[in-house]
Amino acid sequence: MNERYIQDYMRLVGSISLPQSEKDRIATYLVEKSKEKKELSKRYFAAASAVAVLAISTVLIARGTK
Amino acid sequence: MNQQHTKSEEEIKELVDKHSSLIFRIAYCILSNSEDAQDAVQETFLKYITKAPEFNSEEHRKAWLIRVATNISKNMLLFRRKRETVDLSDIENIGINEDDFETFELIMNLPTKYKLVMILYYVEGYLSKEIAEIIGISEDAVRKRLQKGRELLKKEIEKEQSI
Repeated sequence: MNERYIQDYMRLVGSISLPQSEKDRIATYLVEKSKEKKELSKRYFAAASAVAVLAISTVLIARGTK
Repeated sequence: MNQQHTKSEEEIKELVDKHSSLIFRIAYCILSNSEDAQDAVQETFLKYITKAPEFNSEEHRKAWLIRVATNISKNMLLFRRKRETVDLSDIENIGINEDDFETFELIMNLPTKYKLVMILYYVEGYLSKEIAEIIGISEDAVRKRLQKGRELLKKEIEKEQSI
């Protein structure tokens, strides 16, 4: 049994493919996850900005009361 | 460094369309079950959109996806109670003809470490050196696994033909 014969056998594995319906389902899931990630980044940025504004205001108020 | 920009809908669809069957083949060969292999494909892409580094070429991206899919599938195997064997009712959904079931079963019954290098070499067309880089073993180890895998498959085929 030669190399070519083994190659022919192994080619069978090359026929394995993911059904189109499953590709579509995974793509839809990932798009949703990506949107969630984007939304989470926005919220994180908004929260971080609020904390920064609050910290600066506190410092300014503290200086003003001295 | 992780990719800073979020992938657009088009980019994600294109990525899944382009690489999902390759990842599915790798995952199926490790897990021998289409449902688990589909989960592994999903996990691999999820990791890609959240943690993938920047790639300097398409080959680099492909190699990263294969490596991650292999690790995810092997981890999934650890949580299994029993060893799964290929099911006739399962193969029609993945593009394998029923007439080829016995041959397909022979390949799938090979130990994972041999099967994986044989698939990357014979099916995906990678060189021993590239396989070594992808799965993180030496080139010499890849050659030995290929040799052993060929011997095992040959033995199984001959046994099957003698029946």
